Amino acid sequence: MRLRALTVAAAFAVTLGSASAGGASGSDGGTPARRPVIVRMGDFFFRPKVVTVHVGEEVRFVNTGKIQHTVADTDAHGHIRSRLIRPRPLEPGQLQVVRFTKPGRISYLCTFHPTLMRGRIDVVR
Amino acid sequence: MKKLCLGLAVTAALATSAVALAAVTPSVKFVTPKPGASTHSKTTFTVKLTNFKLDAKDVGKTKKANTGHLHFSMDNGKYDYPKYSGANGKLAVMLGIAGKYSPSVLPTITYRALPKGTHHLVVFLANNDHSAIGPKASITFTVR
Repeated sequence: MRLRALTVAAAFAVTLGSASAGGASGSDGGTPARRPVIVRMGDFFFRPKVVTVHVGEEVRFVNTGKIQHTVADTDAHGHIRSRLIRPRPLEPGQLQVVRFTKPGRISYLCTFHPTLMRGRIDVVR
Repeated sequence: MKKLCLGLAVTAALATSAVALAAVTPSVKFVTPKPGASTHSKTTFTVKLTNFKLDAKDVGKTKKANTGHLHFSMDNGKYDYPKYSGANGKLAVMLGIAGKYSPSVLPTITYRALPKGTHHLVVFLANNDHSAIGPKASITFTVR
């Protein structure tokens, strides 16, 4: 239980640290540092459900629920493709980091709960 | 006399509750093959379920008491890939749990291409939401 809490806390700590770095980098006129975006996976939802990230940015899917969840990309019809996001079972407190290298609209779901948990990532330049 | 009657009533009520509780506790056990059996490299395993209903259409939805599906795990998932557990293995790949377990909505599963030697298969009862219910059964067998 403590390990779970630490894992989640670490994920948030990394995010906060990176976000600060991004702000500093942006203020001196350089390329803004990429900030990781966090999507929480609860029982049974992704929050936020839709996020927009830039090419090269990371999205961190964190299981904040009480049961296992996964994340996998789907095609336009909602069928699992698992090409951009390969699913693996995430225990409560675990996270999966995905970096997007091409622009586009990516729909995804939890393979364990496909009718309940769906989301979307818009990757822009 | 009044105390005796009250005592008997309480005992009867407790006994009834215990029977009711036992009746709703789900369980699973292997029917075939028998524990310690010698099998071919392709073998179908059958389990018997008590107080548990397999529900294919609600897999992935929220949990419902005494309803769900099965997770079979051969040698800790070593053989839970399409090559060995066929359609169940394909489903495992799709779900992202290949190499851990093969899901099934039937009380049987067939493994093929198992190498010679002793193997250990475990089956877990799972809720619709894939969380483990608790009851499980296991079997050790030898492929000749």
